[in-house]
Amino acid sequence: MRALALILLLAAPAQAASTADVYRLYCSQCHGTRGTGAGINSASLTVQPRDHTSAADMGKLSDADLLKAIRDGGVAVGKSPQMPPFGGALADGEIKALVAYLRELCRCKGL
Amino acid sequence: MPAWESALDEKQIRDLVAYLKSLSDMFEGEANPPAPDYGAPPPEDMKRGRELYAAAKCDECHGPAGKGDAIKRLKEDSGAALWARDLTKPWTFRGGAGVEAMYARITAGIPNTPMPSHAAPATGGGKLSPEDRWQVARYVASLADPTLKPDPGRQTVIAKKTGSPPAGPDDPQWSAAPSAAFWLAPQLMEDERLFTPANDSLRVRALYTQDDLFVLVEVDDRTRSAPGDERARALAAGEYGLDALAVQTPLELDDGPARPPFYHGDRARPVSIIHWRADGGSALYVARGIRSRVTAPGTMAMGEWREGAWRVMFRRPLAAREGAMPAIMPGRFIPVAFANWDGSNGERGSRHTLTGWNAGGGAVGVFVQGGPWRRGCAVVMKCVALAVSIAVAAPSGAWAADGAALVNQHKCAACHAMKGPSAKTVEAVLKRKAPDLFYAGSKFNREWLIPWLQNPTVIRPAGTVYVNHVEVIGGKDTVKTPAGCPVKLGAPEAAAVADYLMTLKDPTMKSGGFTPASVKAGKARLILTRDEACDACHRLPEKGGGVSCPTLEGAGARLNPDWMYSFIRNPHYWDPTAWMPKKAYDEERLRIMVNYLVTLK
Repeated sequence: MRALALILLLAAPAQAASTADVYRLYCSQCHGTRGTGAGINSASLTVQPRDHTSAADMGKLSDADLLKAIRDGGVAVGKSPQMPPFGGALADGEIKALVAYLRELCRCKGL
Repeated sequence: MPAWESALDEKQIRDLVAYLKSLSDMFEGEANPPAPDYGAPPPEDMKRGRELYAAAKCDECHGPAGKGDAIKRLKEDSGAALWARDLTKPWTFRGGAGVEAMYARITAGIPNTPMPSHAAPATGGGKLSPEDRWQVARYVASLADPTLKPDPGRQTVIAKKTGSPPAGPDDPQWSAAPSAAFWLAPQLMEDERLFTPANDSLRVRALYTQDDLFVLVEVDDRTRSAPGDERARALAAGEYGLDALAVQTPLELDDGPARPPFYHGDRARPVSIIHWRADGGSALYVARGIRSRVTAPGTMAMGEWREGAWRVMFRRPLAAREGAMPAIMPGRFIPVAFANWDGSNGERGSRHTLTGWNAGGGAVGVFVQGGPWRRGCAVVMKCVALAVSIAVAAPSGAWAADGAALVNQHKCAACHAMKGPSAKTVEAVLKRKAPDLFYAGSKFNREWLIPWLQNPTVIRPAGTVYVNHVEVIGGKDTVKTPAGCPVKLGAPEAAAVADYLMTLKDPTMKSGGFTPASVKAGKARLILTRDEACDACHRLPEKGGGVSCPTLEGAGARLNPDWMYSFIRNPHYWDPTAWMPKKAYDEERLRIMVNYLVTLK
């Protein structure tokens, strides 16, 4: 919780608030409001959602992988169809901002 | 042996018969049988005839006023149930309607029926002298009421305006309203059919006020088959049901001559039906084809039975009720068809009599007098003896308007967007308290809305915007159960609000964009789970699923298939920020999904 608060404080106000809201509205249903993968839908999922706060897991993925997964869905990157494509709801700029936000959550860099 | 009718006329044929008979000696010495000698009728004595009618117990079968309202159960010799003739309708007599013919019937009785000879009664019936029989025959002839007979030249009921609404079927105003009579025919198109109708015609009058149309239907019916009427039950021919009447109009009125199929319309041309039953119940139905009646509360009817006839008054607002009743405009011709159930004749369900839109050669309908001339009026009914008065106030109190007022009263707009467009930014949608309703008429099924508005349930398990209903307990996101809609409406209010919501349509949504095909449930469920993982966010029956989106349980009852098709194809057309993904489904996959969802009732 402290980490999340820190991130919100550190990030540029307008951009960060908006991207945090985007995360809350689209991602938190499965990945959880704190990004740990414990969202309200996670109990009924057959593949557990990625823990976005795990540097070990997130560090294995490139920014391009993350962008493609968000825009085109899990199937497009060889993962579960339970991760839907958000390219219809989100503009590329918003998705890029989300990737940056994920990097802040995991405090890691991609491959 | 060919038929010679086209070559020979009637006289030539008869002459030929005479010639043929001359060729043989077989017919020699033959004479016509002598005509019965009834003797000279005595001077008319109507009072005596009436007394004898009762004294000879004619009333036991033909009723005190001759309406055929028997107090005995009658059978033919074969055992088949039989009703005595209604003596006010001589055109129904099988043996002729003249005084002389009736004298013959009273004298000889009618073979194969309980009608006895009153000259030498073996059973029942008092013995009458020839003079008395003449008096009875005359009295019976005087009972004839020619106004009961449908007149092909008078197929239109003229509705006159009145200042005060009639209080019921016995209101004195009715006697001044012009009446039109229509033949009833048994329903023979659909199983179960009716082959032995008891009632042959009905009569209709109409009045209207500034707000309402009143239609009085009179139908000769020998028994008051209402709950508790043991007499009717005892007389019933086999199965016993309740007497009932129904008035049908097209749901959409235009001025042309086209009509929906007269038995319950069809999908494209629905009809609106007000149905009355002898237990006092009445209901409004919309039919889109045989056996597809849809209950819609509203309107009313009341009936009185007296001396072999029902008088039933139907009342409905002049204003349209969206999806349930057409507007009645002064100056307009309204096609009408009637149906009648004679309960003690075993009529129930599809076993009943009806008029159809055309009875006896003319278009049946109600002409609402007054107002401007309409095109259809001139076409359909030669405009009814020029009986038109001008200027009638516009109808008030439309049902959808009532619904709009209720929506204001209950402050629905405090939570729901009642006007578009939908929230366009994430910040705005996070403040959304309840689903957008400005396209409710495209999205929902009216039949689902009415009961739901009376008892709202939670459709989105985690609320409208799920993230606003999340709390973290033990490191896990947990749903705070949403309160749901706090407004609970009564049945009439729910119907009015549903009517209003149904007016909130997206004009660009294609209706029929989705066409039902056969349901492939197994395949559909694989698509919804394994392939597309819809259940990650939506609950499926017998499967469960995520909670961040509306449950798919009951989706078929709740949602218009056309809308489901459109929404799944492009959710962001309807809700630009929807967390429902837009995927490039091929047409077949989309149809399989929607087809299956339609079955989730």
